[in-house]
Amino acid sequence: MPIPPEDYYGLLNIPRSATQEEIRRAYLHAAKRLHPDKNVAPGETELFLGVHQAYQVLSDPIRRSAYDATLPPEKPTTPIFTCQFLLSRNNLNHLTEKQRIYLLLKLIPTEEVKKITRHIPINLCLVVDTSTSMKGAKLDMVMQTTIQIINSLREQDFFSVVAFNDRANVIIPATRNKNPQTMISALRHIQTLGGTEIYKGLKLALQEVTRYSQSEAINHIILLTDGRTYGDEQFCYDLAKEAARQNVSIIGLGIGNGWNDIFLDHITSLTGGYCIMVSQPNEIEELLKNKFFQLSNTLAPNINLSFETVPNIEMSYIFRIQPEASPIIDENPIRLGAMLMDMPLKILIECIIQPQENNAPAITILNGLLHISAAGSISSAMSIPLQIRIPVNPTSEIESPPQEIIQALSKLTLYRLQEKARNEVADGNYNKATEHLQQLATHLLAHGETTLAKNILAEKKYIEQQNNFSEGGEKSIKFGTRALFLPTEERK
Amino acid sequence: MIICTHCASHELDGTIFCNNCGTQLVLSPHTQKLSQQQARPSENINNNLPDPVSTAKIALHLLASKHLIEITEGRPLIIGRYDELQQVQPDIDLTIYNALENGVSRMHAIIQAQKGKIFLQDTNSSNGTFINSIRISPGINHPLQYGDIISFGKLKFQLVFI
Repeated sequence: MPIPPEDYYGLLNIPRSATQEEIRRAYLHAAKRLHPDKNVAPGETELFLGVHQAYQVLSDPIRRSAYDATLPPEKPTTPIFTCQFLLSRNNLNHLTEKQRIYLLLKLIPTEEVKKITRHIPINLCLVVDTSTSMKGAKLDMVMQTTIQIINSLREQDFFSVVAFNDRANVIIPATRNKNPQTMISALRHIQTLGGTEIYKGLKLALQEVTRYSQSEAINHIILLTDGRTYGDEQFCYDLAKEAARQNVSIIGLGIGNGWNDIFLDHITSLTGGYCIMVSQPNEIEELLKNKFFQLSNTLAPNINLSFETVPNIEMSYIFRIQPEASPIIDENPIRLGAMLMDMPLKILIECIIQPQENNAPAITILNGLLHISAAGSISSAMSIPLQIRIPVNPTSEIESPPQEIIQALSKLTLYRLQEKARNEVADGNYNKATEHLQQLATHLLAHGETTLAKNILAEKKYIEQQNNFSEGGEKSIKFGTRALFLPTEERK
Repeated sequence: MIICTHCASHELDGTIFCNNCGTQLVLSPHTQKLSQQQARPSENINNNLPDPVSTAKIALHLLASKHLIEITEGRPLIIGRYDELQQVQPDIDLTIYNALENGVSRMHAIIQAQKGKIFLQDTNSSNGTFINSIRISPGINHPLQYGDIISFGKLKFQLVFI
């Protein structure tokens, strides 16, 4: 869907409420990227001129208000989603002791979503590891699936492919899908060679994805790798933060046993993304296609929670329960990820309340602002204030937490037992680690998860003998316990 | 401060699942607390039990026979029956007592003795776990007392010291 030339706010990717300073910054940012001296891709000069004109109008308060008057009303009559939160406790008995409280934040699409018929463009870059180890079945499957994706691209989608090993190359530059055959034949240039340097690949990918300023597009990078990057981790983190600032999310697909899941979890969650494990090459097709189609099912791709630090409150653990179960890094803003059209976004936050000496009748747990950026089906950026206060009432009885929090926590507890076992192995406390794995397996058996429980008991035995996880063992337990959050019918 | 009934680890107020062993510490809204009143079983059981000695070993006495199953202190023990297909090997295997015919699940319950306290948890077994003829709600640790009659399906045991 082309941007109508008069959509000045959309061109600069800013909300209608933007201040003069925000307008100026957005203009400089867009102009720098689209300057005709720098880029010659088709259509960019027109975009540059559009951006320039948008700035001319919006930077002049008189012309801006005249322009604003011509715009249709901003808000749809019925909201396309609702925001709710649940607390594990509605009262605190005291403030004299350190204590915990859980908060479940839910963004739920409404029936109104079904009326959306707009076809939101996808702007996707596939970054493919082409190090020597990818040779054979893995790369073949990636290529085969890429061809299928190219053939299913719609008119409005942008697509690019970057291949990397020790160096990175743009195989398919970001373009609208005009000629699938040209794209497919470009894939032949991919060769396997050398090692895995993820930073180089990601850098080119971000360049390709941000080449076209499409405010409404779902901007994504999907990284496929089977190896570990060495030495450039910090560069990758900085790049991921930059990607997040530009509303580009990264999804990681780790293939086989050799990749670094902690690293990939970190860079993806810095952008509100996530990573998944692909244990066998023959799973690549299904998982990659699934992720691709999920992109077109996105209601709002970037949801962030910015917060003010509240005295005596610490957010000690943040986890996305769905759509993609994944730990979330407690940066400010917190990148919560995407909301899909057919599934609520659920975030569980664990807070520690430090003891304090005052007789306040209530304390603030969270003072934040939920930002939903303008993209996908969200026509203009939104902010929802989130202020949570909880009364201190010494006579209140111990309450039962809401069932939904208990259910989410029962699974999260299992995931965290796995995390603990892994930390204990890293610290050399093998007895502690096997104890946690035993507890994890016992709970899994009680939940009827016999296959995973058996694998964990086998892993426990391995650690007892070898003082380490088996190759890939820690990853299959981690992603096995993450899969517990999936609805039963989706699990294999 | 909350102390976990399972592993005795100290947890902050407001904690819902033990951070050390994963046991649920707070009752779910739908599960009801067991009645404190203990129904005395009508079975012909030994009421002349010797006084418990703190150093004594704990055992489950199968009422239908003279069999004793010792409960070792420490880690939680799974009570159930071995199943060849699923390769589930419980710590306490009741197969030899005709577990299948008596309605014992493969993974029936978990018992743990620690620091002189004994807890029993039903793990969603098909036919239930009973303490003194009262069915216990699954997933929650129930304290056991010396002399309690415990049933796994139709198999009845008494908690004794040996």
